[in-house]
Amino acid sequence: MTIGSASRPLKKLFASLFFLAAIFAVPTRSAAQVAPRWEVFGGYSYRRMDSTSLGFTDYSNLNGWNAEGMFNLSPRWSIVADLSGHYGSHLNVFDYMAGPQFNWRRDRSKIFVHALFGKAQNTINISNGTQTYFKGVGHAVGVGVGYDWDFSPRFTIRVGQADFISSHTFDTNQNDIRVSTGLVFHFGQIGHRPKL
Amino acid sequence: MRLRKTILLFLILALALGAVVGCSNSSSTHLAFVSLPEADSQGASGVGVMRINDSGKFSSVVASPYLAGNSPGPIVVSPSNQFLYVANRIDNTISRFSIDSQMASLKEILPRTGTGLSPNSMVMDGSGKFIFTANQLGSNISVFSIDSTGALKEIAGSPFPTPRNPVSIAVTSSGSFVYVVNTNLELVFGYAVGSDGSLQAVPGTQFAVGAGALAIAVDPSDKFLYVANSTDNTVSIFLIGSTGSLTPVTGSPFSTGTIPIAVAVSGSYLYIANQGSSNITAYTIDSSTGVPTAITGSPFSAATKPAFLLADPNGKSLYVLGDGSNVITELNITATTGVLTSSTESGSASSTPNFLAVTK
Repeated sequence: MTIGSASRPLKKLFASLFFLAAIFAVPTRSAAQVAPRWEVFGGYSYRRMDSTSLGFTDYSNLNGWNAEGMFNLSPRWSIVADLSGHYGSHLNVFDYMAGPQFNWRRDRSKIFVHALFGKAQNTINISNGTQTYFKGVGHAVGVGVGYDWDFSPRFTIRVGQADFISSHTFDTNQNDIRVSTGLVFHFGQIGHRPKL
Repeated sequence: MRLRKTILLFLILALALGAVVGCSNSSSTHLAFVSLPEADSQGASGVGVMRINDSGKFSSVVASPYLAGNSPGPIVVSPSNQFLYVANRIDNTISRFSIDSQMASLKEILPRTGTGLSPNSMVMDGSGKFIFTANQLGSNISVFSIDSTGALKEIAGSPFPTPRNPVSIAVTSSGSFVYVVNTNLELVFGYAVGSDGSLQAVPGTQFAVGAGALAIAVDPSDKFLYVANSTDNTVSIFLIGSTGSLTPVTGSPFSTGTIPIAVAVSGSYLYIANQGSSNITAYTIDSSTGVPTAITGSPFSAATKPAFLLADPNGKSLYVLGDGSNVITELNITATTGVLTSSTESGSASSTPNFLAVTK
């Protein structure tokens, strides 16, 4: 799936988020100009999966994990690689994506928005007499927003990250919401502190 | 102050994400099951499952079709929507499945139950107490009781002999009477059903129908019996008496299109699929006399060579299977007139279905 072929709600969300990113990109006197070079995130994740597209009567609530590696090109811009796995009684969902991220750093906190592109692998654990499970792999596109708070020079709490992920498996589209929280470890440094 | 603004901005953006997806869409849906005796492009046959939403839209189910026996045919769903039964016409067995409505999945519960030879027609009474199969090559009727777990047990005395080649069977929703069509003899045979499921011939025993009698149905009020005569191009309509004996309605049989091969009843509306003329004859049935009146616009266009009809239990739709086609055609029933109109929705099975059942 590309942005051009994405659903209308997804296109509106893309437009909103990049509009906000453009506003935040305007430098201000209070913007932090120091940032770590690398950030690694890991934590708990909840996913509300659009399992109606697979024949289920309703959405499914899945629990799992989310991990990210971020390389900061500048204090504002990063490249992020995102992995997540979510599990239910009959559903397993695994995503691997990457994309750009914009960071708005303030004092000891950061709000970020990102766009992710990659693959989704959905497994349905139902037996039909000839197969015991069904696996579908397809494109995945995501947009998300998050908020981090530094509690030490090396560690940050990811207070929350919310992503909208649209994937295409089993010849149908799934539109999911993913919410994650956890710890971020950061090392290295880029940027400079303003002269006093 | 800055921290508060930051957190507020984050919450607004997160809520925007939630608004995009919106709330749960657990709209009311029901499930459709089709018998697929032929292997599809993946080599799979068995029972196909689809979900139908309130607006009649079909959606596919990932794990479908589910494996059944050899040449799955007649298919019925229990009134509780918990169990599905399929007659396997070459194996001479019935497959029993438990239905998971949430996941639209089936799970076969083994072992399969043996029937007489070639169970080409199968029905269940309205309370889900008994299943009856017309065994064409065995020339008999098998009767099974159904317990609370959905398990089948053949009753004492079953199978009950009938004249040779019974082709189709119908049961009143009360479960009081069973009727079997014999095409060669141009007769319908009636049986009273005992409390234990045993069959006794009704007074008169046999009732004349037309040439090529194939399909049979009983109206939901258990007052009338309908038999489509595929060679005569007519439909025979009978009043069902208190003893189960049949009396032809004044003027019976009534004309249909060419090669009437399937019958469906929705309330007081009678629909007959005409395979030769690829249309559906529609009648309103007088609730007292049983005399039919053609519905305005009848006959209605249907699938090419319609071979099977099923009226939705909710009275909104009529489903049509065409001979040699993978498509499940959906027609809308106008509640006040019985007029059929084309729906924008249709389903597609992975191979050619020959029977269809739906949950309520």
